[in-house]
Amino acid sequence: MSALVSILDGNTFVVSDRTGNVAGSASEPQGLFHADTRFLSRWVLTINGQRPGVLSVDDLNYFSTQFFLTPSATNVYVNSGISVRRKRAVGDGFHEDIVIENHETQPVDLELRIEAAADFADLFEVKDELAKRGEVYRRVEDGRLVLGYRRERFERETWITATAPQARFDENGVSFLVRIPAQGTWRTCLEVVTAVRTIQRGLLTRTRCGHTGDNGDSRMATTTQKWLDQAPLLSSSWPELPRVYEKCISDLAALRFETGVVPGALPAAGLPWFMAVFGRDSLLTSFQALPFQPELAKSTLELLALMQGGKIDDFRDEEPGKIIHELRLGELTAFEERPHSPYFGAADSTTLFLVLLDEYERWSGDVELVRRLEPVARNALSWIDQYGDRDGDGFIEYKSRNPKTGLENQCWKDSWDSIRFADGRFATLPRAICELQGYAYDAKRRAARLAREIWKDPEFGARLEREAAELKRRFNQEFWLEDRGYFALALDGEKQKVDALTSNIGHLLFSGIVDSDKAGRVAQHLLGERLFSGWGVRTMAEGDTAYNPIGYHVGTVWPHDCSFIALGLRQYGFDREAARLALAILEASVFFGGRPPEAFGGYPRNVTHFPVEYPTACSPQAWASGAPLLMLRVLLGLEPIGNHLLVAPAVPSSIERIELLGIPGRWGRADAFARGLISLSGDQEVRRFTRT
Amino acid sequence: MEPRASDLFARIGAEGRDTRLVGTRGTVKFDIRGAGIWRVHFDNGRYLVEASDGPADLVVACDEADFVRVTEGKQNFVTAVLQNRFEASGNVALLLKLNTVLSERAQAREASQELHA
Repeated sequence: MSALVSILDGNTFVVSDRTGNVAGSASEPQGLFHADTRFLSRWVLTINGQRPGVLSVDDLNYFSTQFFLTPSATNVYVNSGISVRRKRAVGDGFHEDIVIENHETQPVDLELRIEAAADFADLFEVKDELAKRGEVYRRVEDGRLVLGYRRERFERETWITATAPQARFDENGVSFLVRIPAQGTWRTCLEVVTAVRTIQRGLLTRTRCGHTGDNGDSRMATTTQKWLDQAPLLSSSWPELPRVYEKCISDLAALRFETGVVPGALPAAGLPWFMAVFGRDSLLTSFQALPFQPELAKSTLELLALMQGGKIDDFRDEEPGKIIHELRLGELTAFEERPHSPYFGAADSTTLFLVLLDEYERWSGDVELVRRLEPVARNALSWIDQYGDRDGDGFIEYKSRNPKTGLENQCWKDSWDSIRFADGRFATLPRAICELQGYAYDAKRRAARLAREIWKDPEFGARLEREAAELKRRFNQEFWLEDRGYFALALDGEKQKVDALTSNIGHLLFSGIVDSDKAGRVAQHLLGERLFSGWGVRTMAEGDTAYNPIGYHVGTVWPHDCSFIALGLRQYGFDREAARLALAILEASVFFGGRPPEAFGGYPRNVTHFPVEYPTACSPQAWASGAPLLMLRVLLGLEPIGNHLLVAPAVPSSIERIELLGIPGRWGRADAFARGLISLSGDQEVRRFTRT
Repeated sequence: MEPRASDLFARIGAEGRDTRLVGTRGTVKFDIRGAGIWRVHFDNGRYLVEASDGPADLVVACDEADFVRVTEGKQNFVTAVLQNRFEASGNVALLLKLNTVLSERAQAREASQELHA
C-alpha cells in the first residue's frame, strides 16, 4: 500500500500522506503542485496539538479523496469520542471540507489548527534538491492567508480561505476554537487557490475547485464519465482482466492534459515528476490507446506539430523539423536555468511522430489531419537525414548540444548510465541506439504510404521506400552480432558495436527493421532466461556487468517496453511468445492493483513470486497504464485492414475468453471475441491470482 | 542602437508573405506599452500589419524592450511569457506558430549578418 495519496487534474495535483497532511521538503514530493511549481509545501491538521491518526482513505476518483481520521488516543481499550473527515477535491488549487463529529453525550471543546506554508519550489528543485533565488513572503489580509513568491516579475501566490466563522488566520496557518455540542457536528470548508501574476490582468486565477458533492466536482465527474463511456467494454472469464483494464482507462483519464492550445487532451507522462507535455511519452501512450481512446493521438499530433523545431538552438537541443521532448512551466524553465521551454533533447520523438501519424490514420481514417500536417511531416522527414544523422553514416545518433543541462541520453532509456557494453564500459558519444534506426525505418515506410495515398506524391513515396530499404539493409549488416545472435544496443562514437543484451532489441521487431532470418534468434533472447524475468522483459540482461534488478534502465522491467516488444513479436508471427509476455505483464498489473507502475524489479519470478516495487517509480504513469491496453490489442490481434478491423486472437488457454465490444475506428464500432487456445507452460499462474 | 517596435512592424509589414504561415489564419494584436497598438492579420501565408486597435484572436501585451528582444530572437517567447514579460490571451496556437516563424527569421537574419560582416 502506498504511503502517499495523490489526486490530480491535468498539471495540478496534490500529494499527501494517508491522513491528508502535506509535509513536503526539499526532497519530499508532497504538496500542491500547479504548472510545475509547488504552491503548498505544508498543510498539517492538528486537533488539540496532536495529529489525528488514519482510519481509512477513500479514493473517490482521481480528482477527489476522503480521509477518515480519529484523534490519536484511540486504542483497543479507549474509544474515540470524535471522528474527523477530510474530503478534498483538486481543481486549479484544491477545496477541502473538514467535518468533525462528536459522538459523546457531552459537548466538547477543540482547538483545530492547520499549519500552512509554501516554498514555491520548481518541480526540478524538489527532484534535484536545489535552493530558491527569489523572495518568499506571507501576509494575512481580508480574512485570508496569502503565501507568495517573487523573482523579478515572476510572481506566484497561494490564497487560503475558510468558511467557518471561528477561523483565525496568522502567517503560519489558521486556527479554530470550536465547541461541538453533544452528538453534534462541526464543519468548515477550506479553499486553496493558486494565482499567477500577469502584466495586464494582475494576479490571475481560474478557480475550479469549489464545493464537492458526494460525487466530487460535477464538471470533472461529467467529463470523466464521458471518457469512460467512450471506451470499449471488456469482459473476460479471467475476472481480474476487466479490473486491470478499467483501472488503466481511468488512470489515463486522470493523466489527460488539456492545454487549451488544441482541442481535446493529450496524455501527460506520469505522477508526480512528469505531469507535463512530453514528446515520446505522449506519442507512445497515444499509440497504445488507439483502439480505445483514439482522440488522444489527434490532440498529441496537433500540439506537437505546433511546437516543431524551426531553428538551431544549442541550449534547447532544437533543430529544424525536430519534435519536442518536454515542455515545462516552472521558474527554472522561465529563467533559462533549465532548457525546457520547450526542450528538444529526444532523438526518437520526431520519428515516433511520423509513426503515430500513420497509425492514427490507419485506425481513424482521419485523412484531413494527415493533409493538414503534411508540411510538418515533411520537415520531420528532413530532420532524420539532415540533423538526426549527424555524421552522414545513414544512422541517427545523438550528442546533446547543451552539455551543461541537456540530456546525455536522448532515447527512452534516458538515465546517464543506461548505454553500456556487456562488460560495463560506457559507450562514447555520439550514440546511435538501435531502436532509433528501427523507428526511422518505420517512419519512412509509413510516410511513404501517406505520400502515395494521401499527399498524392508517389515520387516522394518511392524515394522514402528506397531509403527505408537501404536503411534496413545496412542496419542488419552493421548492428548484428552474429556470434551472440542479437543486435547491438548501439554504435558508439567510434562506431563500435555496444554489445549489451537489452530489451531495446524488442523495439526492432515492433519497427519491422529486423530481417526475417534474424527475428527468431531475437525472439529467443527476449523470452530467454537472461532477459525474461517471468514478469516481463528486463531492460538489461542478467549476466551483463551493469545489470541490476533495481537499476532504472539496467535491469528493471518496464511494462510499456514489454507492450511494444509483445506487439513486435506478434508482427513477426511469434504468437506464443507474445501471449506469454502479455500474460506476464497483465499478471504483474494485478499485483499492483490494476495500476502497473513505470518500472518494477527485474528479480526472477521463481525467486520473488511477486513483482517487486521499484522505489521511486512514477504511478500512475501514462505509458505504463497504456501497456495493458496494447497487450489486449496483441492478444486479440487487432489490426485495421482498409475500412475493416481484423481480429486474429492469440490468447493463452488459461484465459478462456476475452470480449472487447465497441472498438472505435474508421469502421464505426466493432467487436472482438477470443477464446484462449494457446497453451503456455506455467500458465496455471493466472488462476492463482483469480479471486473468484 | 536597439530597433524600436515601430521599425520592426514596418519591416514585417513590408514583407507581407511567408510560406511557413500557409494554413495560418487569424489576427494578433500587439499592445506594446509606451509604443502603441498594432494588429497583424494572417491569411494563409499572407499578412497585413495595421497600426490600430480592434478585435483579435490573440492579444499579446508587453513592454517595448521585451518585444524587441523576442522579435530579434534574443529571448524565447515561452520564457518571456513565463517570466511575466509577455502576456498572451486568446488563441495560443497562433502564438506558438508565430513563435516558430519569428525565431527562424531572427536566426536567418543573424546568419546573413554574420555572412556579410
